[in-house]
Amino acid sequence: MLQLLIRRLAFTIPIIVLASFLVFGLLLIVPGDPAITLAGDNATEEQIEAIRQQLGLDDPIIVQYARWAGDAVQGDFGDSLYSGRSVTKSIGERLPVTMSLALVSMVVALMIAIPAGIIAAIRRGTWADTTATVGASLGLAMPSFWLGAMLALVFALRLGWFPATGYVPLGEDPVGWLRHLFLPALTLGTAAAAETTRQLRSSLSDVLQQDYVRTARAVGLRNRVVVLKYALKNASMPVVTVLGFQVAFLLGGSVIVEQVFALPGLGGLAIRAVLDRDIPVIQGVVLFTTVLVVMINLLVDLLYGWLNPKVRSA
Amino acid sequence: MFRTVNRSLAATVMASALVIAACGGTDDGDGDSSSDTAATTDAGSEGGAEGNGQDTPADGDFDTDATFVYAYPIGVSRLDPHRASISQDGTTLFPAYDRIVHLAPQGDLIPGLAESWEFSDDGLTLTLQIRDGVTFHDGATLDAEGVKTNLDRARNLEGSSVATDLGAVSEVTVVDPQTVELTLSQPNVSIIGSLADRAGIMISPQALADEVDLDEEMVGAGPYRMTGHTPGASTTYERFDDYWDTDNIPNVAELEVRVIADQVARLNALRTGQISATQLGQNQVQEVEGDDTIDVTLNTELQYFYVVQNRARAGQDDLRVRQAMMHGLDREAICDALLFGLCQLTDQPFPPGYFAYDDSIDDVLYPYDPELASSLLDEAGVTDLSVSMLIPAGLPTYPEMSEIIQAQWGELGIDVSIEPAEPTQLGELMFAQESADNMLASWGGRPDPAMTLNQRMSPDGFANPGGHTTDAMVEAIEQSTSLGDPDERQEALRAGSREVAESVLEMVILFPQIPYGTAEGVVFEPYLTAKPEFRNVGILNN
Repeated sequence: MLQLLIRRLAFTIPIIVLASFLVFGLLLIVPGDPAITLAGDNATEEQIEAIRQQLGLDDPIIVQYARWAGDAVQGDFGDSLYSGRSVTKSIGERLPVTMSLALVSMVVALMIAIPAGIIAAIRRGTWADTTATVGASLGLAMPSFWLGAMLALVFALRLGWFPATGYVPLGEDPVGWLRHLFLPALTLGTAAAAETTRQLRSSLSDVLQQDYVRTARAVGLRNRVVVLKYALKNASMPVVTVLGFQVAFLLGGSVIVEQVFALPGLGGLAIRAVLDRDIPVIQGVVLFTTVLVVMINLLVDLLYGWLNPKVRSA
Repeated sequence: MFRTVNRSLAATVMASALVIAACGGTDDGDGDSSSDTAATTDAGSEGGAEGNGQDTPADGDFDTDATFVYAYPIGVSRLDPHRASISQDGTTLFPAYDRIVHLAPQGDLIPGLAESWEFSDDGLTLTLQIRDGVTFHDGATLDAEGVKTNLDRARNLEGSSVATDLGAVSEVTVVDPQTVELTLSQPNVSIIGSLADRAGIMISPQALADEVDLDEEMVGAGPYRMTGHTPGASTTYERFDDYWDTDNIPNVAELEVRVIADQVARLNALRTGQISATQLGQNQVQEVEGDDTIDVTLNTELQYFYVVQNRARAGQDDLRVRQAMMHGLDREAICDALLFGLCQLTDQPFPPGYFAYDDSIDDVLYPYDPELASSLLDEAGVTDLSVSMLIPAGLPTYPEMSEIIQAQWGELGIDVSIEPAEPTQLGELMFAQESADNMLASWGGRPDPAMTLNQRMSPDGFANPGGHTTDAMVEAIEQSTSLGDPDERQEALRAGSREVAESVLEMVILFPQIPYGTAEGVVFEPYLTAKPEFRNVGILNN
């Protein structure tokens, strides 16, 4: 297990470094000069230049990168060009919201996908299977901004069952937290559920055709036990991998959903930063999210190794 | 049982989803439009914080324990008022921070923490009489010394975003505990307007001495005291009972300015009762027409869409050509097509009702008249005019508007080539490099109207590419920036506005009317400056 961990970690470091190059490099190509906006409406050329120097925007790219990377490794992503606040602090404030959304979305997705995938697999070729497959396709096809708007229209405006906007921290009011997150999580979770359903259906029905399943049934084990205890565990490996990718999708999709439901998460921070050309914030958010996704996929790999002993020694 | 439940559940959910999607989102309901054109769009009001045509509710009608929640699309850049970098920050800063000069909803400059001010005859000294009995949220009191400390900070702080606004001030002197003198390096009456914005904010001298972190806390003398702040999400305040203006102590117990960037989310929040008031998009007005629980007020503000010309180029220095171009624009059609008919049309750079607006001439001097336009072009001897037009890339409305203008001018034989450019580079391209003939953009207005005239129409105004102007304009600018007497200055400003219209020194396309939605029982008045203040808001008792 330890070997697996070390091997995987060794891979992730180059990935993160490469990501940091890309993040840094792309931003330099983007037009627009934050110094002009920062200097205000009536600034003179000298004032703009002074601000540019103050922010170190005139230094050679390598120097800027080295400075930024050196700080980032210590957890310091610098300060926002506009608010002067530490980027790390801003990310820290908004992270719980996005993480809560991702978590609840994942739970919702699993609550939909697991029963649907199982039903579709054991009733393969029947009416139930078709419904699940078509439903999954629909779920993948519906854009999140449309689905979110529809859900808000029906369940918040018309029925009033859930709030239309806003976020309440878990510590403050657990029930409120869940109520505010439900519609956004359903929006995001639907697409994730769709993908997971298809994956589960496919891998479970493969497993159910294996010899050992037939043997288990022949031996007299009840169908429920066969399916849920043995087959499902074996079928879950590819699904766990897909779930790992879904995390990246959820973090990205949260940007739109956060706008639609006015959740103060990382998505809003990123959008505002891009519109303002607030470079340190953009770099910080993107790199942080990259590291997060890489780490989660690392965890997925380790989980894979734990679930399937054959992988550990490979 | 397991599978039956799951199957029927799945079917129900899918069926309902399809049905609901088909029903669509428009409300049925009577055509009873609650669109209420606010008195702010009508002519003339001098001063005064009222000006709304509705009855002003008596004090006893308000629920004094209520919370007023306003949804605003842009979060405050930072709480330190002398470092806050965008003008929209005022919405979040002004409830807690009073300024030396204040703004009435109509845009008039009225006394704030200074109860009066006076310019010397040569215009180089501004004397402020500071109000007595002003208490800050931390208990400190305001005196001339405190005013000087604040103004010096605004001018000298490293990273100050308001230093240029006070650029004309060379020295601040305390004359006596209630009197401060500002020495100006050149006459600049517009400084009063600057003192109504962030540059004139007074921070508690006690807080400054204690080196309170002003990005975490707002310690001012405003009607509300800050109670909490989550950057980019919300700022909360409570009523400040020791507010100096005892006639205007807030009607509500708590105030919240909540950041909601998406306009659909704002409307949803308004409809579900989560917020009291907010700005709506013109495209949303029709949607709420049938909803009796929401009132819509249309507010004309200082912002207008315009085509700025480099009048030194492409034959645009001929007045007849400019007049022809104006007559060639069907501005009503543009308004109907792009802004749902919610605009105000005028040829002046200020909205009707503003104190700098000249109501002695017609609102629109150049109505749509393509024949007159053609004959003017013939008279000027212009047959094939070709102009380049910069537009902001990636922003809504401008591309469509530029295409309509291109089509309408095309019919006069004027060829327009549209060039999109990065919004942050437009100023550089059009004003500094002077690389295009025209630019379609919007002007957000300035705290003082003389600043607009000066920057846009004076020969060396940084936003007047080509530097073309008229003698009458130069005189009007000179007077409106130096005359100290408010009435004389207003005459000069009006003359300047009139000159802009008559000599087409600005091609004003339209002033969009901004819709504001308020929930039932909410009293709220939008401001002409587009930065609402919450001095007199309230929630009526049921």
